[in-house]
Amino acid sequence: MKRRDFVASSALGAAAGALLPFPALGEEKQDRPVDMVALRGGEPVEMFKRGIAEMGGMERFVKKGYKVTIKPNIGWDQPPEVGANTNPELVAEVVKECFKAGAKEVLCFDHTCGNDWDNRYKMSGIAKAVESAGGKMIAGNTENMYVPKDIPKGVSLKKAMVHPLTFECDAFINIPVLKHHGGAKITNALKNYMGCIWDRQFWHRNNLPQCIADYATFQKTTLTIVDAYRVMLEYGPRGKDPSYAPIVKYQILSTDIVAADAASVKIFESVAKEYGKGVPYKMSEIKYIAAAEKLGVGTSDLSKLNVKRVSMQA
Amino acid sequence: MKILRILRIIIALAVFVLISAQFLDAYHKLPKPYFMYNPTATQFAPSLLKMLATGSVVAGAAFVTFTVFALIFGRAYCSFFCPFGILMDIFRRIGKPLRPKKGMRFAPAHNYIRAAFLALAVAAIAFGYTALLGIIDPYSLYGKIMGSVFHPTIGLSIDELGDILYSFGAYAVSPVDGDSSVALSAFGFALFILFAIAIVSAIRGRLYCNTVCPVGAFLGFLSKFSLFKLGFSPEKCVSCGLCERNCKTQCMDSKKKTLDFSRCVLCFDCASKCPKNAIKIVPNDFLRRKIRTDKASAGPNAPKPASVNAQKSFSASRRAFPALAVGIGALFSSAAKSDAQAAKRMRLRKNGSGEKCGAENDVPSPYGLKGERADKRLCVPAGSKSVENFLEHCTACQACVAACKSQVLKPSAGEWGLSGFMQPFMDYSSGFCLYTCHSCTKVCPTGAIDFLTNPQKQKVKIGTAVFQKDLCVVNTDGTDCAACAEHCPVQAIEMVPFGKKENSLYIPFVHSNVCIGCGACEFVCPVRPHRAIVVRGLAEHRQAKKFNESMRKFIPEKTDSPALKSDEFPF
Repeated sequence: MKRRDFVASSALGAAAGALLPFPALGEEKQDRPVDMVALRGGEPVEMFKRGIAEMGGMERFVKKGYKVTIKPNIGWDQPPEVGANTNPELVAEVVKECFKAGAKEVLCFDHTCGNDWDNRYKMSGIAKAVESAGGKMIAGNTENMYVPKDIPKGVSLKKAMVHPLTFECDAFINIPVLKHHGGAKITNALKNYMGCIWDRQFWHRNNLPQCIADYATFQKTTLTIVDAYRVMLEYGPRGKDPSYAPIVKYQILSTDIVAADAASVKIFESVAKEYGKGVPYKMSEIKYIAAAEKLGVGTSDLSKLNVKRVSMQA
Repeated sequence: MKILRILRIIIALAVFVLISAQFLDAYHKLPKPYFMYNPTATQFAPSLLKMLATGSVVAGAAFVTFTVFALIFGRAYCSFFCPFGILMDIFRRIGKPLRPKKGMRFAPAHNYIRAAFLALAVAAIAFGYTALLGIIDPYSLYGKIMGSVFHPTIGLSIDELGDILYSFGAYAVSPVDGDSSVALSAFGFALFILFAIAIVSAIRGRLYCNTVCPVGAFLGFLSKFSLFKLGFSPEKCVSCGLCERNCKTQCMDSKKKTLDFSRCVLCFDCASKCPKNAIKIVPNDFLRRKIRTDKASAGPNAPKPASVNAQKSFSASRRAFPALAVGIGALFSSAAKSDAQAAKRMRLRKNGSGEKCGAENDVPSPYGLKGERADKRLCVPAGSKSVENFLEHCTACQACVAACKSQVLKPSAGEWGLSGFMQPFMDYSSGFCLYTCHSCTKVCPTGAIDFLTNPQKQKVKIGTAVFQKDLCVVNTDGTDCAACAEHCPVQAIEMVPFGKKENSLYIPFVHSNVCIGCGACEFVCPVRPHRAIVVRGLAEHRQAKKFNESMRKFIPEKTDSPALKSDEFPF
């Protein structure tokens, strides 16, 4: 790395750090708030309850009267067992915690991968989960809903049609599911943002990993919750059947979206090796992580962060 | 008689609401009843086509019932069950101010026009030009109005309203599934029919039914022979003309006290209006004669029945005979033709183009699309068996278009040629056939699309994805994509390593026998102007193979390693 690049990237990193609700750098590790909680061995709901407590409670992210947007992955017309969509129980619990912290309203949406958006909301179990917890499902399937926005830091992606819920909110919670992806190899937090915009084909046409990283410079994230309870190892992102999505019981909560992806890649690698299915991709193969890090979205170096690891064995 | 009119209105409104609801269900939330439970199963011409297509008399129940009924009591279909006729009645009611105060007058019949259109319809069925039948058949015209004017208008209005509310931060109105727009020519044609019928029926009532409508002509000719008819009681009638003024078909002559029953649609308006109760259900002349001669045989002086009415009806029925003969002949020839097709299909299968045949032996659909890749071929929905079968049985009533959750089925503008105007095609630029949906197979009333259960439908191969490597973005730009593979519901597209290993690129490979031709890959392919992957529709559908592990091109190296301990993390 050239010195100039280093200066530039660290300046960007500092700027990004300043935007976070709590400064991530320059404090003693023990005193500073937790940046990431990694959990394993529990059910989605109990892992989340423990994890958000370790993060300092939902009150840290959601204040009284907030309008909260949650963005799970609801792309596919598959039941929860296939692991193509975010675990509905986890999503319901996130909605509940938001309301407990004083949120005024919790809205949930995704630009689904097909015209039958309401069917996908239903089949994934997420519509029922969100609505039973008091949240609201919002559609994202006509072009006119989307608002044109400039992406000033974008390299390949300079403009995008963005769903209004992604910026018209006080807190934005990203709840991706970790799984295999034919194009991006692994899809998780950064890739989940493809459900926030209208013209995904532009991304596919113009260097997909770079576009994923570019959009992340625009999208503010309050909290990333990675659902890795089931990890789909092959035939992603749509999935084939439950046998390719073993229950491995991981979950990550992170304020740094790039770190969340970096940790998830390690989980995917370890699980793929353990089950002998799929390709244990290396970090360098997941090109959008490096691209996002270069743009100062976050860091993939977990040693820089205050990471808490919790094993929940009964 | 008043009660019959009320019964007619109740049944007509129920039928009208049930059929219209199938077309106006913009959110696709209503249950889609199929086969005989579908309200469209009550329709005359579609049920005849379905009977010919499936060879099942049950499928043709509406055709058989209304035909037999016409021989007993006349054209009950026209007022009770025909949605187009009911629509005309509604327009006629609204359009009362447009008519002269003294109402309608008797008008002579246009029997040659009626016979000509009936012959045209019969020929259209016999020679497989059902789209032509569809532009004169009343149900198909009604479907076109509902499916190509109201359905898209409602869908687009809901979307627009939702978008406006969204921009104010209100989320009360959710958009409908997919893109509701249709080709302008289809919309324009249906709108023209709507306006034309609105004006005609407001001024001249059921004029269409007794000139153009082939069902009206067919049932009208049969009702010449019907056992019972509506008629005047000459001793009661005072020729006040109230019935004539209120007759929507202009078939009553109150001065001569005659009623042309071949044009009567059994609305019972005249009977319920008559202050003298002079309009009655009477046995036909033949029956009356028989009754009279039975009575007269007791006495020596049997009066000879000779009325103007009887002569007129006889002359009309002389014309009816040839038309009927042509009709029945055509039905048989059509049935024979579809048998020949079935035989042809079976022969093909015996020759090995069935189970064993590979994708390379499939005959592509003969219909391409202008401005698209030459190897792109149009598909017809699963359940229609073959392009030919679909085009030969579809009257373009738009029931499937309105039912299509993904809105991938669109009325054609010229995709099937002029003779297939408005017969639906799969428009993969506006959506793809959803793996979990089989709505079109439930709603088709004509047998152009047979009912399939969802698991059955998921195995039917209607086309094959054709991948062109030199267009693919992975090859041309050296960047990741896999949009096609990620949308494939049957794992027919596998991503295989491409180029140098350190680039970590994967490019699509199509398992042709697995592909069902749903068009998801074509819909999402980002490459323009020509897409790197398009669907080549099949002339004849067949069963797709289920993907299994042994078909895989790319098998990742097995890298078994022991599981982490329960408190260990991989980072």
